[in-house]
Amino acid sequence: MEIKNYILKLYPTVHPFDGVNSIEEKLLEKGYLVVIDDNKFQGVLTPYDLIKHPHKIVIDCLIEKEHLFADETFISVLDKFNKNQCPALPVFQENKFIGIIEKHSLIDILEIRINELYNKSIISQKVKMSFLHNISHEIRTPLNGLLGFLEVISELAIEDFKTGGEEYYDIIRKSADKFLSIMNDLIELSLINSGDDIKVEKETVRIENIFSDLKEYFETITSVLNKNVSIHYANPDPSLIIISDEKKIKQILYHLIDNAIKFSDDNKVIFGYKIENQNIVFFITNKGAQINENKKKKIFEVFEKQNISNDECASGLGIGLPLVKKLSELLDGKIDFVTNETQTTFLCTLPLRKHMIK
Amino acid sequence: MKEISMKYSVQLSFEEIRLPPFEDILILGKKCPQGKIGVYNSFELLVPNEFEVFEIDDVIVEAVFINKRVLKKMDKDRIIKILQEKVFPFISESEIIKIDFKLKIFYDSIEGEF
Repeated sequence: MEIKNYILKLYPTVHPFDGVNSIEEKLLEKGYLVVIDDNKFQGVLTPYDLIKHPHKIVIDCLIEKEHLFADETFISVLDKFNKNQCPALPVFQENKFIGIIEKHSLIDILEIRINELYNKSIISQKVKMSFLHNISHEIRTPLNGLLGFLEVISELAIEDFKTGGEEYYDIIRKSADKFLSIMNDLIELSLINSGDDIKVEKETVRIENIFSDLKEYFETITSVLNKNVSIHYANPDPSLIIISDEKKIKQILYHLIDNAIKFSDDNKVIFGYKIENQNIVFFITNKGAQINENKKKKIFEVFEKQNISNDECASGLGIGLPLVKKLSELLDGKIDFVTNETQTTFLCTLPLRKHMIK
Repeated sequence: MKEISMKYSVQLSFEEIRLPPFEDILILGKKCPQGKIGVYNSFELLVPNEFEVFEIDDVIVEAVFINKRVLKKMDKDRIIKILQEKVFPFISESEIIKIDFKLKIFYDSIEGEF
């Protein structure tokens, strides 16, 4: 933490040849006075100086104080305050006096920061416990599905396998996909958060292909899960071809549609895209309750999960939207949403540079 | 009623003084009312370039002002050493002490050839 933002440019001043009698009250009230003569810094006068050197004019009472530097950290500054026993110290940059740091202001700032960090750590602890609980459930569910149906298959007679085996294979496949998808998301999010360079592919992307793949996937998986969801895409020209990273766009849309299905009241999700001001804007809309006001700021934070209408937490790890945000930013875009009492629309805006359109 | 008359008497005397009010050496205590910068500036205004001020590393004494005429005859280290031995032990930190420093220099004999 650097001190640059806390340097005061306005401070109480006194002339070096002022009589001490005339400035005593002001000094006791302010705690310190900056001794300035023709804009030239002379020192910082404190009540301690007057006790140590009880002379008649200010300049005779001054005791030299330690200087601070603009690029110092909080720790080194606090150390100097402790050594000097002074309520304020001058700050210099390139041998030029630039302002004052007051000790009590520094301590107030530190107190606020400590409280923030403490509260964050408490929340973080709760969120992590909740995440660990969720991840256990989210990973075990598809794994149990895999193992359960594998066991069923292994006990089937060959004739029964021939008639019903394909359905079981489908369920196993989808459970494995779901499990893989969760693991991929976790790995991707942690890679992005670690600050490592993530490669962005530049390839030909047919929007229509992405849309139809996602529609088919969701309509199939939801029917397997006994949830009759219909996915519609509404677009003037789904045959648009752009140059971008297909995998990441698909991931973004996957999570947004997945989210929309969870919170949809009528099992219906509409998604599509529009071209606006040199951007391609993907939108995903579902009918459902408005997103809470106090959740709006945190919705893209990791592990933050929205309550569904019956106040239970939605399924999932709470990493979908944070991942969508990170991926959008990787593609130089942004994610946003519009919500009201009846429906919510998520918008992913990506820049559409001229060479991106084919 | 009889009126009361008022009378007054004044004891008056005067003498010459010079400014600044010393000629040879001035010693400032650490807690005396006038600090070295205030004294130095006032002397520079009244008698420019006549005194030199020396900061002293001492518990009681802050600074010593020595007339340059005295410094011409004896160096400052020797003067300060004498002051430290003979005067400093008697000074309080809130005092300003004026020193008369009358220096006489003797030669034992002066020999030469014509």
